[in-house]
Amino acid sequence: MDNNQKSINDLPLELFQAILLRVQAKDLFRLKFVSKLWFSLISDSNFVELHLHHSSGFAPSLFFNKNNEEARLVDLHALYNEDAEILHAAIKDVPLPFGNNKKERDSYYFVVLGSCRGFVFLHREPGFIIIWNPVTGSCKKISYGYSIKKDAILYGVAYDASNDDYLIVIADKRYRFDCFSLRTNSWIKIDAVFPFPISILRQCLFYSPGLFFNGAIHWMIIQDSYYKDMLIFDVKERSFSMIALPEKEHVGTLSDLVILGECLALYLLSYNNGYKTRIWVMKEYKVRSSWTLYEIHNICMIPLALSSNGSDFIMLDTKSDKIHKYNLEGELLQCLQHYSDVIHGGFFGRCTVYTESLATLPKKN
Amino acid sequence: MGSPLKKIMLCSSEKEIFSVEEQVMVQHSVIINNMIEDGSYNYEESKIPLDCVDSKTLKKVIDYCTYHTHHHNDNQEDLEAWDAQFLNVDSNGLYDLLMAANYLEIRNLLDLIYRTIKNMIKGKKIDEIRRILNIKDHGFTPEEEEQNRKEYPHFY
Repeated sequence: MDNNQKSINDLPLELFQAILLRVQAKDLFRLKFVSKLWFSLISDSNFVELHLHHSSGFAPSLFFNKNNEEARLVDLHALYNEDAEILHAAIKDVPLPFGNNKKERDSYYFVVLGSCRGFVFLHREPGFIIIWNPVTGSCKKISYGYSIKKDAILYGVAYDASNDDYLIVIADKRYRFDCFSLRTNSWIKIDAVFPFPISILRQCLFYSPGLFFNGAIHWMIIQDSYYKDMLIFDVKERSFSMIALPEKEHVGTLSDLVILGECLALYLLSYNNGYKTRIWVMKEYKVRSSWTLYEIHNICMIPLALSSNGSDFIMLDTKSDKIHKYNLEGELLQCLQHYSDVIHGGFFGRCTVYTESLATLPKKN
Repeated sequence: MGSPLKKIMLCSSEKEIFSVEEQVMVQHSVIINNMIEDGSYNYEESKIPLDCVDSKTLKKVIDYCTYHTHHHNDNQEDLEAWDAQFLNVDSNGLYDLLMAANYLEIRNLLDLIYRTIKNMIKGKKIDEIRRILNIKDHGFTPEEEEQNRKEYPHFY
């Protein structure tokens, strides 16, 4: 009887691969050790790339710098799973890399700069920037002597697919636009022409880092206390462009760009709008007429992601640190009572929403 | 789209003939749909040979397609409960179904099996996964295996 037993390893590779493509990155890393065949398949760079694109429908995760020693990773979709085991695995604390030196740890503070392709960028100022994939542990430390908080008026992180390179883009107060290339391990000056007078940059909010989406970094530009345009830096073309909001929006108490489902979105918490969170979703990328407005009748809600079926907002209550689910009509559906302290102690500069990946850093040329 | 009353013949690897409503198979199987559409199936004489699908598996596949054709308006929960019951088979049965669904290009069944296998291994320890999926030879050298167990003890 036992001899007739088939093994999963007897399946054609394409079928086997199709199963693994559906598994989340954090589980795949563990599955590598099931067998040598699995190990080589999951480590294969083509598979990693396929998985990255397949995982667009996968759970968004929240990265939270808990206490400069540990990061908390929250699988936002798993938080709503009824399976106790999956729910239990939804929140995981992992030690930060390079955080072992107690003296360093006590005197500095990590700021989360952003994320792309499963990598989180952390800045410890002054001193260095860390690029880290919490799933694979792939990590690199980059020296950076300046303070982004004090010196930068615009910054963001990106992946350049044409060169398989990770970039950190920083515009400083002298209007110099610099770009760090991880592959060449050097700073490059960007000569791209701005679509507006560069002095406007000075008014950008320091806590609003650019958002990487669709091969470009996006920033909201403030003019006379209003948002009118979004600035876009195309990573491959190394060029800037702008896209206007459907209507100008007063800069509220909090506002930022976020990825909701497959779309880029802007949220604003403003008292000027009658105590609402306004969420503008750009349904079709760079199509101005596709901006669609959603409103949540609660002032302190930040949208983090869409639910797995795409029909609800997963939102963070900045007052109570609780995570809620609202439908697109703005009605409260569910409040996660048990997870009130998921990201206790502040959001900005400590969090980023990212998609987990198996990506590793490119080897230096 | 085939007419609801027409029947087609499917032949398993044991040369057993199954007569199925054409619409049932056309709706679910891409390759049977193509055969009917391009006219390569002759209703008087043809039977579709499925040399790599045994009778037991073919019967299951037909059950799946028939149920989903006639119950596609049922609510999602009922369908999921039926699917779960349908796939309550041993790992051999699951692999056979997977191969058949792949061969016949039955996309929703393929997807269902992928998800089922994925859920079978979700959150499980490595030793458990090896047992569930019947992996006897993991292919690591004893030294590699020992090293992995040492480095990631919580995985096992």
